[in-house]
Amino acid sequence: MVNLKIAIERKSYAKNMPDVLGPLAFNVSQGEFVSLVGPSGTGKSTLLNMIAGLEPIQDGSIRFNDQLLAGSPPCKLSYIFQQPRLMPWLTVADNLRLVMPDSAPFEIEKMLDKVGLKGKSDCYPKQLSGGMQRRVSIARAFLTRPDVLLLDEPFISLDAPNAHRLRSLLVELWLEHKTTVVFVTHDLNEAIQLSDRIIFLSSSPGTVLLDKEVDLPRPRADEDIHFQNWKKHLLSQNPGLLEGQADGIEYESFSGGFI
Amino acid sequence: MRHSHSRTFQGRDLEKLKTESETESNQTSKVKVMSLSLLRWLIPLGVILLGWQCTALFLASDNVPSVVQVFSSLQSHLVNGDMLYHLMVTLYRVALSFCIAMFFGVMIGIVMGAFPRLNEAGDSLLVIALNVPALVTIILCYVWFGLVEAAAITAVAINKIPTVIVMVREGARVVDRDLLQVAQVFKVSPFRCFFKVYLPQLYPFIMASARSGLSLIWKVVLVVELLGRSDGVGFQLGTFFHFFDIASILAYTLAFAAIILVIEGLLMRPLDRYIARGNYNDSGAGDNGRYKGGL
Repeated sequence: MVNLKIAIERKSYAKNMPDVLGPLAFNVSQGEFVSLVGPSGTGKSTLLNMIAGLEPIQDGSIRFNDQLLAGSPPCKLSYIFQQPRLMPWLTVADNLRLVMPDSAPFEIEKMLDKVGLKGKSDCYPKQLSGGMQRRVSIARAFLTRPDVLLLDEPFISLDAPNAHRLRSLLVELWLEHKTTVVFVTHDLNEAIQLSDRIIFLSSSPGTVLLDKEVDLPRPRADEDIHFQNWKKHLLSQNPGLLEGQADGIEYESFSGGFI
Repeated sequence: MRHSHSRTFQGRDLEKLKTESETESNQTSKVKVMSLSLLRWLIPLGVILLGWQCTALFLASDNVPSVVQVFSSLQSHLVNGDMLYHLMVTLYRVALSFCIAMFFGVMIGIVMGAFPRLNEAGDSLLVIALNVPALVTIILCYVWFGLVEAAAITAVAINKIPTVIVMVREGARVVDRDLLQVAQVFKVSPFRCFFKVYLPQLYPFIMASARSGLSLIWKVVLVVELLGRSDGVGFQLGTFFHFFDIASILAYTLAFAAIILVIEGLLMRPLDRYIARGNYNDSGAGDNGRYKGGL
């Protein structure tokens, strides 16, 4: 059970490069599903990498349960990357075993069964379709029973039915494991469907534009009338939100199309 | 209704027949492919041997022995002489210096590939090492360490190490950081990360250097033996050179070449297949085409 306190002053990749993240602060309570939404290039992935300890924090701090992050995170953390990132020379089962060396074969089978990959444990990743590889990476992320789960646009470039299935799988596993989730996406529907809270980031350098609770009952379907109304209301109150504009004056005519 | 029923029934029968005939034809085609690849292998060999025999007969010179002469020499060396002993001695030297060269070459290559500063510092040294003639290292090793086994092995290894470094370094430079990040995020132990995530990415490069290494090393080993050892194929070749026994020289060459071929078939190819295991996919397309050739 882990909560996150994120307070970043600024972040840039090199001294003479423009900042990718501006001043930005938010908390994630334990077991909460938080989505980060923003246009591409706002440093969403950078922020996730910082939380995962892959990217150094320059100015600011990230705390896990009030413990300052220095080096690798002080808890079990899983990361579902944009690409599945499986080792092509390891079978599916061995890919899972890599992150949990002492897991019994039946545990791995059970996990694969859960993501709908029963009997695929001896396949190599290249023998699987893109969607199946993604499911393996989801299985890998949940096998370690993480306290914190980071997802970086995991359902991008998937066909709609597959993405839908994987989204429900994610929610199912999240409800079962009570993991703290930070989910990066630029798909608003996806964010509304999945999360407890959505944090909208501005265009580069990324700062928090809006921190919005999603008070819709689960399960949520994006063709549902409440869902659509909620989204319409959100966009009408905050025009230019998806473009990362605070006031949205320049984009008024464009966002007017949604209303 | 009845018509369609009978048709499906027929269809099923046909399918059954088809699968049966398919398995049968699979077996026969397997045999066919085997014999074809064997033929493809034997025909060039036969042409070369035939050409050789004809030239030898035509020239009728003592310096160009015929195939028959060489093979009878091979037989007499094998049965009556100590060819096997010398072959084994050479093979032992090849194996030992190969392992030493691969070990140090891979280690240094990884370090140089991983640390750009070290790479810059070592680059000019590497170029020099690549270009020092084998003969120079051999002579120097013998002068400095004496005419002993260790000097011979060291000389061969030193000759091979730079080329291994160069190939492995290229591999270490293009290592997939994304996969290493996976290991870092999931807190995979350094030992497992090295052997399950890092090293497999270098296998193709290590394999390529092993392939080229084997052929280079056995040539250098012969020179080493010629210059400062009293056994091994190189030493024997030197002796036959003194007596102008060309048939024996060719017989020894053929024998060792055959051993290298066996090593290639029994060791390198299965290793190749093992390394490429994840790259095989059902459609068989992609960059694994190069592993698909028959023997």
